[in-house]
Amino acid sequence: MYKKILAEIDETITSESSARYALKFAKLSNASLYLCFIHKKEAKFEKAEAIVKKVFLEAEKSNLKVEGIIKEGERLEELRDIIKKEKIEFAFVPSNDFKKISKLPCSVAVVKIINMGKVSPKRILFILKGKIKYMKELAFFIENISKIFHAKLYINYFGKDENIEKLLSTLKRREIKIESKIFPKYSLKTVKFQALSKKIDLLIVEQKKSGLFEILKPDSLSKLIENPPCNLIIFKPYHKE
Amino acid sequence: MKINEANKEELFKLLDTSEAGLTEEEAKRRLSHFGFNEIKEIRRVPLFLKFLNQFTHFLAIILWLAAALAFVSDYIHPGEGMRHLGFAIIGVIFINAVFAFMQEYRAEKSIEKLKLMLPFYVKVIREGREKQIHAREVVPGDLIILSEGDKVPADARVIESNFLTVNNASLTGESLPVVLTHETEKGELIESRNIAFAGAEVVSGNGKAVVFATGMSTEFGRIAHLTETVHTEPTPLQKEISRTSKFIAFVATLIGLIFFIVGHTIGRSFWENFIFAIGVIVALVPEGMLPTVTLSLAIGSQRMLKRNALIKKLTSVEALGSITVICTDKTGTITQNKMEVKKLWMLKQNQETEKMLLKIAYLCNNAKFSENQYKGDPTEIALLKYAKENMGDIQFERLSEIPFDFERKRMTTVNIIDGIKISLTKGAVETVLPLCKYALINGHKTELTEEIKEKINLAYHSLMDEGLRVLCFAYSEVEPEKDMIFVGLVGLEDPPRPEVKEAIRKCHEAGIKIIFITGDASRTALAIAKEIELIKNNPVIIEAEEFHKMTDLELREKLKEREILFTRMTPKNKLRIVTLLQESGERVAVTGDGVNDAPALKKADIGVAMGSGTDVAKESAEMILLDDNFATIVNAIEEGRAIYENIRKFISYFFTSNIAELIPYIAYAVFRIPLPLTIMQILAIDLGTDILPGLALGAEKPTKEVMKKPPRATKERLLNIKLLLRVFLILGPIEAMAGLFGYFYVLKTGGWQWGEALSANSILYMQATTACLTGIVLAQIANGFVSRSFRESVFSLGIFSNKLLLGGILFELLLQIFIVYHPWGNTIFSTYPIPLNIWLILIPFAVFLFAVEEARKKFFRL
Repeated sequence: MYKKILAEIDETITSESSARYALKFAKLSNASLYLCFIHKKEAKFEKAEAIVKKVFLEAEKSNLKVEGIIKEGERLEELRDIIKKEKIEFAFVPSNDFKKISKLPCSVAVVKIINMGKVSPKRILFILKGKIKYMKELAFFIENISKIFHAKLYINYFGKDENIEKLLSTLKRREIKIESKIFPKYSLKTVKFQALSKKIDLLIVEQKKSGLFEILKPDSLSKLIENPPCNLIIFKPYHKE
Repeated sequence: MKINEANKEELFKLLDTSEAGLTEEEAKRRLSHFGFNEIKEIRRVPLFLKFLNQFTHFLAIILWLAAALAFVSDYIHPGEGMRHLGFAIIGVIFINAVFAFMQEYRAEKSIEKLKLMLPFYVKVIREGREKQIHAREVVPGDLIILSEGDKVPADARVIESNFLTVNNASLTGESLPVVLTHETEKGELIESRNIAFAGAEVVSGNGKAVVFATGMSTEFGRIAHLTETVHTEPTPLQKEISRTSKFIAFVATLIGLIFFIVGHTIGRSFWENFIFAIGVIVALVPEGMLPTVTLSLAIGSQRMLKRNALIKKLTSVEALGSITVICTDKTGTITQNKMEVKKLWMLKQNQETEKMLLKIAYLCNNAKFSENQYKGDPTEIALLKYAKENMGDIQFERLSEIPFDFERKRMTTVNIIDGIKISLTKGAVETVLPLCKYALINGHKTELTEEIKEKINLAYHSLMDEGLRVLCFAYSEVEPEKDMIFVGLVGLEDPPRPEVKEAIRKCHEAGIKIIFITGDASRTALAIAKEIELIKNNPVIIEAEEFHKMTDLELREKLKEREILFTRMTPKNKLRIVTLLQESGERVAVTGDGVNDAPALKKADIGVAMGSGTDVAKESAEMILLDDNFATIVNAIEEGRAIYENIRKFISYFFTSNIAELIPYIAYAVFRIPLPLTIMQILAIDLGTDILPGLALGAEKPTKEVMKKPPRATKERLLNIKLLLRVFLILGPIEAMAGLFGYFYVLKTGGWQWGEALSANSILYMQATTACLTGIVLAQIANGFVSRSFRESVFSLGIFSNKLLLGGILFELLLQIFIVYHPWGNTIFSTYPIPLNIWLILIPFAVFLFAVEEARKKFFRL
């Protein structure tokens, strides 16, 4: 589905883990991998460079088409440029500036690693809520995650959309074992409780396009990313309306 | 690559570190990225907000509204005493708020207690040098040095271990130490023996480890996070009080509005109608209810304390009464936690073999006998005591020890006995027997055949069926735990507490299900469950392995079974059981004592911590059992049920006088007679004469019937329709009749003519309102007696059996005499002394109310 995947790297060790997720995803979809690092003027970046190099070699070893991009400039602008220029379909990015990042013109996985011991998760919880849109992409993403980690998968759905049943049966048809639970109403507390009590290693939350009504509500995703119960990916499918 | 499966090189690569540790610059960068290594509070309600909450719950808001209306009324018509009413109501709100706040001011301290479990300083290697840093500055990738006495500051993967032994009690609740290894391990991270978890204590040995998770992302942090995230529902009483308050507000507003419209249509002025509406609200709102509920709960918690149950939150007193399931531990709660050796079993019992068995029991043992008392683990104490009593002391030298852990389920010591080096092992049969190659029969080493093994297993099962905990004893003359020689089995008993059987019978009668969660083997647990009559048929037994494989749906189905035992379990499994039970609509009490019990304790409707448990468990629980005894939980439930029943009693008692206060008001509006009862007189009842008898009703002791009914249904209301009909159609009107009869009797004998207006200062008017007040108060005395039970006759309960009620009624009478005859009482409440004959003509109304209610109990039970 995704033929061009981008992984943004920065000076932190967690960005290396995030890039490895992108690498595994690319490997599974036989996609081209773009490793990029954007730095400010005159900033030191040996570490990021080393990470790019390390992941680059690993990607090459996996017979992937890989490209390294190191650019100077304003992060979001440059990222947007690269995505447009290279026609990137999916980007794995670290969690800084989460709100702005989610506006990038491609599907985005914002990755926040808080526990380095659980970068290879054994239990993954997907949080879906409201209207289930882009079912094909969602099913593809869940299937790939399941294949990458061979982990126990849980889906918690918050809402009343009947499409959730369709999504679950699609996954079932693809022989993906999932334990699902449906809640009528979304609450951040319930999400955290489910993640903590089930000892989830990786929490994946789908980000919805915020409507006018949501602007008035406190932003639960920002709260989640600020204080996640475990390693976290916020997944935002991108579709031109 | 999973952290427990990675070798040293892979680990260093993953965490981007090395033997020399991190550089200071990298450590600083990681600190700013991951944050401090500390247990943080996610959110806490500030103290002043907690105090403010006491002023903003629904009933308090109604009272505020009533006070505001009183002030408005005083502003419009000064000099009618409405201001006093406003102040009195505010006084009630304050007294109640302060009282409730003081009782509940035990802020959630579980996080603070967790914080204390992490160390302050820690030794790390950075830039190739060993240095001591503040534990909060530790970051992922740091190389930490662990030695005896240290506390592990963060979750770390061991890379060097020199008999590094840690105690994970603070995390797992398991008090036995675990030997850590630096080898790679497959499987679950939490169960890996190459991981040192934050909060663990190094008991012996030393080693090095690489930190991979800090602060709230550690396992320790997960428990803290979970404990804070657990959603605590308001207790049933809080919900009911809120519902009742809304009901009162609705009824008061509706009646006020109806009579406002009626008043308008009959041509009364707007302000007259407004004052009338205020009167209706004041008459209908039971101002005394809130402090009486609080005080009644406080009395209940004091009574529970006398029965060894310490209640931390007042509203939990009543919540206990609604419990439908108790999830309980076994050791120490159901049993006495006093292990005793009951049986020895050997293949062929002779002196030689028995002596060897006792030697192992004595030497492969960490319990001590000093200063005339045994110290250590209860199982080891029992073994040491038995060996000492039957063999005497022996001289020995211990060379080394492989400690017990829950994975291996055995321990081994290497000793020198009579100059010969020998390794002695004791442990679970399933882990020791497979290591045996020989058996000691008649003092001779014999090959251990399949036939002999079967014989041993048969004996093992038969000992477990007797409810005994069985340990297997073996030794080796070569190297530890290799080619071992089986010696025998020892069956130990932890006798059930004598009062538990009766408590379980009570639970069965009261429709409360008990779920047993134990670390014991299934057969042992089943035998004990049968002994204490917890199990009568074929129960569902779920062992830990099966438990983990089951989906929530499957487990929820199993939990519907009447008799169910969870065996080979650890405390961390409780949260799942509690959550699923609650999702099925059960109200759950759960016992616990360890740190990892905290989330389950907090999640349960009533968390019950053991008095001997950890501080974290105690802080997370609503109730603490000072004697660790299961029977105490049942006693507390009995008290809780009685308190709910008592609250219904005094609420119906208060409502009766409210109806009696409302009817004269309606008469005043409809028949245009002088107001029979002033607002201050209404207040004299609600905040004066009613209070102590109401409180005495709240202190009624549990009757036998309380534990013979099933737990109350979730949908059952505090004020059900039968109760309301009793108050609105029977008791309230009788009391109103008493008041109005007294009122008109005084007016008529004083020469008043229908339609004649009376000034508020006229003696006749004041005497008439005094008679009305006295009529209601006298009828309330009778109501106090009959409200002691909705079902049982006062005579069967014993008229004098509630001494507090007698005291309360005496106070009520004295206060009424003060209001009627003392000049101060006359001034405050606008009363005037009435002759004795007025009292005498009002008494028959009280007798009538008493008789009607007694007859109702006989023919129509609520």
